[in-house]
Amino acid sequence: MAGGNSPGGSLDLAADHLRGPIQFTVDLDHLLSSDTRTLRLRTSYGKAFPVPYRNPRRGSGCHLSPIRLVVRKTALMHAHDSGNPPLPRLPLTVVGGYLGAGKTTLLNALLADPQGQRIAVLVNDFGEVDIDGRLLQASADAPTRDVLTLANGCICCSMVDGFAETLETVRGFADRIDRVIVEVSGVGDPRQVARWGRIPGFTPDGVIVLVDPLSIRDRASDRYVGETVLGQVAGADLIVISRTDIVAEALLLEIEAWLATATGATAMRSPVPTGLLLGPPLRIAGAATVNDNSHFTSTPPDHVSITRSLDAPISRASIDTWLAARPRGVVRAKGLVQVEDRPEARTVLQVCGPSGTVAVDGPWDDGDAVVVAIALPGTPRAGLVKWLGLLH
Amino acid sequence: MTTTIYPAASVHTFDPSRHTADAVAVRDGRFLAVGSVDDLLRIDGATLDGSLERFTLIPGFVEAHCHAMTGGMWLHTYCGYFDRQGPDGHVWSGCQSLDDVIERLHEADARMATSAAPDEPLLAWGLDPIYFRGERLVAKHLDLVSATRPILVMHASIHLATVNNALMEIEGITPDTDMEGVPKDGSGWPIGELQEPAAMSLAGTAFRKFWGRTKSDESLRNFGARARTTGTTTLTDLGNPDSASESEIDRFRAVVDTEDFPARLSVFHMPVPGTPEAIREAAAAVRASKELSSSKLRLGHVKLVMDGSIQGYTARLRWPGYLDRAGNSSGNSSGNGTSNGIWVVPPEQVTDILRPYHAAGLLIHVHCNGDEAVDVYLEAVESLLAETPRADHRHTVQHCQLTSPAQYRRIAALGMCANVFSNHTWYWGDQHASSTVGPDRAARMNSARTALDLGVPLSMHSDAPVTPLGGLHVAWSAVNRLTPSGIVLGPDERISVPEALHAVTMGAAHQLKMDDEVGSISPRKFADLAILEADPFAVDPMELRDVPVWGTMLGGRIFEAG
Repeated sequence: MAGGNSPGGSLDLAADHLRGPIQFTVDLDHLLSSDTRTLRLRTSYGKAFPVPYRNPRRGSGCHLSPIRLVVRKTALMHAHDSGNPPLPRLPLTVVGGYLGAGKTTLLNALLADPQGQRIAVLVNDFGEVDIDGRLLQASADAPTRDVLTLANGCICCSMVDGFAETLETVRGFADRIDRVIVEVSGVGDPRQVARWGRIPGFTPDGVIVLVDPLSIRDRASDRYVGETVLGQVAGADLIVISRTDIVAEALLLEIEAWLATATGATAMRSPVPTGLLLGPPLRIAGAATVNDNSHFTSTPPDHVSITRSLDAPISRASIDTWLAARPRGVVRAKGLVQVEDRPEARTVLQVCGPSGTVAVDGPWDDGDAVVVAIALPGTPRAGLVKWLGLLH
Repeated sequence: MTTTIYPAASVHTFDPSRHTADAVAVRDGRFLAVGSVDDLLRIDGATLDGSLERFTLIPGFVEAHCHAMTGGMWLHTYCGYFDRQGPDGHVWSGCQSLDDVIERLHEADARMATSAAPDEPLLAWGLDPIYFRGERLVAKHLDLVSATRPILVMHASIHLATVNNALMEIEGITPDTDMEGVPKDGSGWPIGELQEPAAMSLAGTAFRKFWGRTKSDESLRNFGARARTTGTTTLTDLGNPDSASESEIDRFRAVVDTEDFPARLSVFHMPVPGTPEAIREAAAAVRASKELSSSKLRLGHVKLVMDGSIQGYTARLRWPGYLDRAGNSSGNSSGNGTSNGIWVVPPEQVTDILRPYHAAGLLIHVHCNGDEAVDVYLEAVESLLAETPRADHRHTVQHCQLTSPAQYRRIAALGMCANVFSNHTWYWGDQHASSTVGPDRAARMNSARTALDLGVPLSMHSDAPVTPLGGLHVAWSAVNRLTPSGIVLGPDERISVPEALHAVTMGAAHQLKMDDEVGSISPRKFADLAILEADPFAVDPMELRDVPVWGTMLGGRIFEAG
């Protein structure tokens, strides 16, 4: 296909070349020292960008003839948004906790009051979720027997056919839902399940672990399940303490103190409003909606929320600094921003408890760059303002 | 009514009333009688068939723990470390280095050049780099095989796969793929390893095809072919979550209930988690499915999985747990984040899950690799028996690898059985001694001697495709307890050849509640035989696994291996 260039030069590529591997002939002396280098390529879109490539002959001795070099299509796609519409990414939140910790109660509350979000809840068995009959739509509307459609736009999927298959099904109606919540079995490790948030079509959006204040300490030292329960708690981003209505304040304080030693997660007492648990209804695939402050209506007034608009693209380094400097008490933060070295792309920032993710999901759409953070009551406002100020 | 008399070089019946004979008489697919040729010739209308006269006849092997996907694996290219026989009888040599793996894949790619589309993935299985001294198969190795055809090599643990750059290109696995379980090189490029199911699912079409093909009719026919080549006449599929569904039963029937399928198959139901109501309904459906059994296809037993595996550091062990705790983060990719394995079901729910099945009178087998899992299972059976006493339930501990003498006494007292994973001593014995539990506990693993001495009804298994199907190898492993490095691991736990062969015939039949139909050469039982080219009672016990299998007889019909 294309040919006759050296790693130091540049090459013009027509769009055709983006469809398959591109072969180059390169000078031998550029390739003997390492197996991967960066080649700068320029496309017909007019942008120059670096492409990593491999030397297929590394380690196999000296070759006197020029060698063929294959540049992978994905490298080009990755380095330059080629105009293909980006995959919509559904935020994937994992809900875990040991038996009886309150997972089902939390899911039922979310389904009953989704705050305008269309949530797909993935459960092992429909029987676990108590769906109000009035919410159920005619079964004819459901795509398969393993999916229930609710009148409020939410859906409920059973994972009887396997997790990978169920996510595939859910990806099929990405245009009808805003987010996915996966319920993990009582002995499952929610942090492990959260890995699935990285597969195409999804973006990880937090690990929520339920804790029953009456039994957690016993469970955590149980001969059989102690390690399992401690692992769940340690792997959480947000902890929701259930049964707060029947538990004495002294015990709650004791549990909260214990949790602070067992996990870096942000702990909250139930009931936790949908808007706080899931954060602002940022539709990553659609238009930026974080400027719409309606999500704050569901946040209790004593919680602290801050919004900051960004006038100019920010540096990647400042994002890393920002993620590392999260003040205690932050429950959620989200942002749609432009990053300096990829200004053409829309970069999505998400913070859930101690975890943060940065993802590119499409071209910058000329909307406002904005970051929003929500924190627990009593979190100093000035600290949050300073924190958001780290993005520059 | 035709009666055929088959004289043989020797016949070992495993029937307590008559241990040996010269010939068997077969009528209507069942043994009519065993005895001397002269005795049998007195039967009216009997005809003599000399075709088996140079062979040794023993009951067909009964494998009480294997999986139907065994056949499906052979739709992929074998890359394991040990020599392994395929369904057609061909022995694939073991891949003992990365070069061997690449050569094996080269050959497969060359075959696909004429038989498959250029983008049809090349799928391989069985890779066990634990034997490669730290060398790691990555994409650049597989790129030497093909730069265009997607390649996926599933490791023996099935927790890890290696793919080539062509596959990564097609499926969009790039430096942008930001996911635990997708390791990258210094330049940020994915090295081609996909760890654990979430990352493996990135392999898209290839990943789906790898498992999808194991659910095909061809897979099931291969499973039968593997039975024929190993002398096995009764197989199991130990645990299928759909086993009570009409369509799944039809799928099995269409293959198993044909004359050409050379084995009986008992499909165990695998319960899925659910509400008490859902579990009760499932138990009723499994109970009902039992009535749909035929002489070859058996339905209606139950298998639950309690913990993981010892070599994967995911089995639940009692004190002192795993020897090499670092194994959780280095030697394997299970990454379960705990130092003592995983529970597949919550321990406190085991009784609730099993209750409806026990109450319905069904047979329950539970996967317990670690001794802590055994404790939980025994506690559950104890309370179920207190609630609903049952005689002769034969609930079985599957794998039972680290079970203590006290636990075996309890197993016996509860009327339970043990199906021990004897092949482990050969396939992972050295690793157990050096890494997972240390030499002392490794020598106590799969303690068949203890089980027999304490009166526990014993069977032994291959767990195919985890290790190769075949009663002779399983028995050999329990008789010799040899490891590949040449150590006899736990000599005091060795058992005799007759004890071992009993365990993989009558012992297994007992645990499948088929002991009145198969497992011995006895009048009225199905005429199911392993037809051997040497007498396993006469060979050096160390050569037991090398006794050639000529074929099988199933219900009076002869199936030649290979």
